[in-house]
Amino acid sequence: MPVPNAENIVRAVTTEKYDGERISPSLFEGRDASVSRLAVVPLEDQWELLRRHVEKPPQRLLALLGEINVGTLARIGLNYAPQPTVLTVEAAPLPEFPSHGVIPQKITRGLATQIVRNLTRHAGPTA
Amino acid sequence: MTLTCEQTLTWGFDIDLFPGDTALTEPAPQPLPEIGVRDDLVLGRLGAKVWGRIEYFRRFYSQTWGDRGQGKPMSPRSVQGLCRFLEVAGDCFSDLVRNPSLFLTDEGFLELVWEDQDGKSVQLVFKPTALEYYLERQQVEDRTAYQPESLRKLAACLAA
Repeated sequence: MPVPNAENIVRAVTTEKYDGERISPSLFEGRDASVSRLAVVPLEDQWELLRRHVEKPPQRLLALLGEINVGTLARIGLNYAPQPTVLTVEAAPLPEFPSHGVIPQKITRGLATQIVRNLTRHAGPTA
Repeated sequence: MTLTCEQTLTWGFDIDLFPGDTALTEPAPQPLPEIGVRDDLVLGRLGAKVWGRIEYFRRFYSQTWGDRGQGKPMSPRSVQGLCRFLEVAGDCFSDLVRNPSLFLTDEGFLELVWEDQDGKSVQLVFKPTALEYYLERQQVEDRTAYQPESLRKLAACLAA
């Protein structure tokens, strides 16, 4: 089921993809990037939820949440001049991850770079 | 402490974890540079931040990682690719690269990112048999072999 353009989503940014300054473009490169819907689980509760799913201490820690509007994501895809791309977010709830969704389309490195630039960064309570 | 090439190759990597690493079935590549040489290359041409990231990945990403265990350990052949590129790129490379960032892809490959003088992104991904690159200024996504001449061409392109 497609997620409406009005919704916002977050992508977990873990320590191998963030060095305190830049976010790796490979965060969105490829197919089936996992995201989490803020309409289902509010931002303040996303930290605990995503930590449970992506952290593997001590090596992999959740560093940031990157937020983007679904409509903005779609617009970035269509406006990507080298290869205009239809981008959608599909709801894909999991038993312990009800807000889970995926971006099913293949995202090139160049397009991923544009998406990363448009993320709103949220630092966590202990990040 | 100076480690040998053999020790460099056994840095917590299980070679069986790289079944898709086609370099394993190809003619043996040149040995990894000694760790001291690698340190000189990375520190001298990319700085302490990048060197520290390699150490971080080596220490904490030596086993599979990620929410579904899909993340691969840092590939020694990716480290080797980075060193080969730095050797060929020469000393002027450090003037070209501005405050670079180093990341680890889910496949265990090193990803070097910086912005050129116009603020356009330059991205290099060191895969086992090829160096993949994205040059935002030219809107180019491509790959090149780890042959000295190919690497020199890419370095010249980055400097242009």
